[in-house]
Amino acid sequence: MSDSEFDTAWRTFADADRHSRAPARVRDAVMATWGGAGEPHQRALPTRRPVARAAVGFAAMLVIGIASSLLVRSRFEIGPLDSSPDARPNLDAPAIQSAIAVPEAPRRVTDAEPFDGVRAERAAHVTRVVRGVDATVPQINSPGAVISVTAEPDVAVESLQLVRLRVPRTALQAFGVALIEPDATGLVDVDLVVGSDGLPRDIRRVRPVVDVRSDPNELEQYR
Amino acid sequence: MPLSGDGNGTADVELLHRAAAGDKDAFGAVFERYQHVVYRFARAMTGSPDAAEDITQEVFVVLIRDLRRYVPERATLSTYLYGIARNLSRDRLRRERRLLACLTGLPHLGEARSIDPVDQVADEERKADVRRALASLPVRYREVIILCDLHDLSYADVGTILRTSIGAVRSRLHRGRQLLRQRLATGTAVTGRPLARSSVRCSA
Repeated sequence: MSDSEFDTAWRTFADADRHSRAPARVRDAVMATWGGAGEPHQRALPTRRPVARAAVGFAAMLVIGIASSLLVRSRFEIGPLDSSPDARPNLDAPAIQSAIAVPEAPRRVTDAEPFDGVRAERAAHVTRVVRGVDATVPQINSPGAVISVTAEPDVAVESLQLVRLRVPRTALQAFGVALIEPDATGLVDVDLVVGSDGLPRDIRRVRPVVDVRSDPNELEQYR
Repeated sequence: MPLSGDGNGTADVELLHRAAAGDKDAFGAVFERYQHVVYRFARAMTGSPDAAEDITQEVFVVLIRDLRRYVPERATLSTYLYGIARNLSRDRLRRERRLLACLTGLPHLGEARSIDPVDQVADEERKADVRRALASLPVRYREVIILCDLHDLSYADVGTILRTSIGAVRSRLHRGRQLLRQRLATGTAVTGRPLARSSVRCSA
């Protein structure tokens, strides 16, 4: 192909190209897109907004979850037991700091000493301990110490019952607590705070360990 | 079509502002002003009128979506649209590699201005040959030839659209013209096959 032939061919092609236009259906399709979408700025960033909204929603849920967790923890976590004399629970104090509903005639499952309202008040007054996140097993060595055995106690809105039990020391493990006392090898008297669903909420050791195997008379004396 | 200082800059911005505010007629005016530019570019790039229609539609749909993203200080509207059309054309070519060879086998006789049927057919064959040869060029040469020789843009504007230097534009244009002339002279495309055979193969 000579230069003139090339120029002719190119000019012909360029002239035809210069007059070519998109068919009317293209305009119709584009304008239909406009009409179906409303104002253009409302359609801006259509692919990123859902992602952003999802991220914001997830972050909000995370913040709410953390805040709720901290709130619940702050309500029920008073802190570790302090062994100082000032910090020891005052069993004579009449105030009830926990909203434990004490029934007038509590259900007795053992033949331990009679239950009365004053003791319930004392039981409710003692320091409450929530098991820590460090997985250390709470100890129930000190009589009167109340240990929560549930993760989500909500005694403020729940009707509870206080039940006294005499159980083997090893049975305390079922409640997630331990009794570490050198001479504690026998039965243990505990008060259980039982929720309306029948599950225990709090547990309190009310008496020293009575080892009936070593000295049966001690049990009688205890009674 | 010159891009810089074409006298439409202010009007374009005003139309776009009105369109961004929801004025459908303003956007229609923008479409009418630039649709043939986009369509011609896409058709020359892809060699397919159907693909060109799709790309033209996509370009303006993107413009609708991103009306508020356009910054007049950075580029004229035509440069902006050329850039979108170029990206969409390249994407299309990547997806459909055979598109280049699948050119329209039959000439569009209605576009010819010659009265003599023989001349008419000869013109259509020449145009088809040029279009096939152009479509067979590597993309980097093809887009420069289209913008410079078909759309009469300046080197600076082409460099802006292609995001390259003026020197690179000149170099590619020179090399592209050589390749185009060679392929038209030999009547072969990249594959080495005669152009007529290529069209027959793809029309099947």
